[in-house]
Amino acid sequence: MKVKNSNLADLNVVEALQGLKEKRFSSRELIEACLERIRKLDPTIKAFLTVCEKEALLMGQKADRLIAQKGPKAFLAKSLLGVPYSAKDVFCTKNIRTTASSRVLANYLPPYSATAVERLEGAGAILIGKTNCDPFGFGSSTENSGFQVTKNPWNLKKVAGGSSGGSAAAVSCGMGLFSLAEDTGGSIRQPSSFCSVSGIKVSYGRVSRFGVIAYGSSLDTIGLMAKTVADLSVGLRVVAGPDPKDATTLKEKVPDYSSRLDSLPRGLKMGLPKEYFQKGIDWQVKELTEKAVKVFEDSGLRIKEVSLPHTRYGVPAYYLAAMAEASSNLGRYDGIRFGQSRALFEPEVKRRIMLGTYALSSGYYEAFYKKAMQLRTLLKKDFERAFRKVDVLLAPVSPFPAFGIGEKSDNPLAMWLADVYTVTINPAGVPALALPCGFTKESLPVGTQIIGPQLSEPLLFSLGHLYQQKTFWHRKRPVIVNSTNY
Amino acid sequence: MISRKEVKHIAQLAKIPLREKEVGQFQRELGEILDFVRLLEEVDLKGVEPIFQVTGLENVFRRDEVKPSFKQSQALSGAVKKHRGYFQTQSLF
Repeated sequence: MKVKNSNLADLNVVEALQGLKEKRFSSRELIEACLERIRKLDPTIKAFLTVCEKEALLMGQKADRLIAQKGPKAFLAKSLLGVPYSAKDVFCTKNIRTTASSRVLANYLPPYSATAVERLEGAGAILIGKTNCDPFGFGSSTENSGFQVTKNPWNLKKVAGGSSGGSAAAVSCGMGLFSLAEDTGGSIRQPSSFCSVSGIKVSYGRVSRFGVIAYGSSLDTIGLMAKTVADLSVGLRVVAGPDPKDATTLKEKVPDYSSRLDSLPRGLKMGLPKEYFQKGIDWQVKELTEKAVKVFEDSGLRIKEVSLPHTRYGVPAYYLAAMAEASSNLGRYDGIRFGQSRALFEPEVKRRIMLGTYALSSGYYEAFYKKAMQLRTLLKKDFERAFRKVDVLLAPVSPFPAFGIGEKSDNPLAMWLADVYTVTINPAGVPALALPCGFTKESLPVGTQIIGPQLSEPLLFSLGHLYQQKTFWHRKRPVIVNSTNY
Repeated sequence: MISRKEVKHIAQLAKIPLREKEVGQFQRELGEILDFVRLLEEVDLKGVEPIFQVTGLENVFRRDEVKPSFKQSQALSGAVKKHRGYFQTQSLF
């Protein structure tokens, strides 16, 4: 049975690989379907800053030739052969425009590619375009982008989330079957929740940061967004692992995540951090989170209340640390070796650089940066203590679903406070998996996150996979996508 | 509250050219945010060691071997101004 071309973009990665292996369609047809989605939807959604149409179709042709030559064996060495993906515009892609969504890098052509990009290419995945984000990752809505605001495909008046809003919107609409993105304070998890896709924020050091435009070097983690946990498990295997070009990468071997999806230990305990369920959380987010908890409870997990007592200090501690590191990292944009004048930095970028500079300046280092680093120790200990009592934590990702475009953009502090459930995780270096867990009465997506100890990605994936076999939220597609299928 | 003088000083340290009207705007915003982060003063941090590296990795070395890197043309490819294989900058003296 021939699959209608425009529906190929709605396949998930695992289904696409199966179809390619069985020769039900070609890689070129798959790429063409995603490009067609971009053509039809992206003028409205504005997820992409750069689309690599010619290059992608050429790579698709190469993939098809390899599949014709070697058959299913071609997929043994190249586990993502023929699958189109997008990359957040903070990933350097050789000779393909990379802007970090900032006007300072409007025409930057990197002379090299990020390790994660090279590994995906080596596995046969095909880059279809670079996605919009908040500049340098500074933001939670993509409204700070120097170029365009990405609209939420589920409701065009709402934000797609940030900073990886473009990636989330792209995946939810089949504009590429997965996306390479980055999470420093929630930048994968929050847009994943706002756009109803799955996203993994890995343990610090699990994936090389080489070639990724740096935000906060002790906090940045490279991850993926896709339609399912199974997809994430295939993708992570490809990009994860030690890299001599990034001295902070972990030496531990990368497990074969997808082969372990169905293996779940018995007697697991899931903790609910009580500080995450106090005032400020939207009642529908709370209700949907509780429904998610019930799914795990019915599957045999024991649910316990735990405490992460320093949660309320997470936002100021995170932002001080992140700002300070960012001010240092963004010092490289001198407008001499590459990029344009620093006067062109977006307002949020200027704000963060100046705050970071202030926090590190003489007389203030002790009061600000050092305090933030001490708080970091306390946040890390909070998680360690919790993980002695339970195996994983479950928590909401955002206190509310996607907010209106323009609603928070004139109040930087309000935007920061919205990150309360995501920013405490990065300073501790632990992984977290964001999963779609339902929709509000206004049809807005809501996500939940499972948090685990360092290197617990296999456990997070198994739990997420279990959840996606018992629920169907992740299978829904935004209505706007239906208008393209005929 | 942070003064205009301090804002200008920070902008100078951070090498961020600011227009006069931006100074007032940043003065307000930075002031608000700095007030907010004072929340950290509530916590008793006596004896708490700061943590800068969250995975405990230390002194990760590699062999000091010269390997091929960029060609000169690649290294200069983003340069705004070039001169005979050099980056050209504004004069400092």
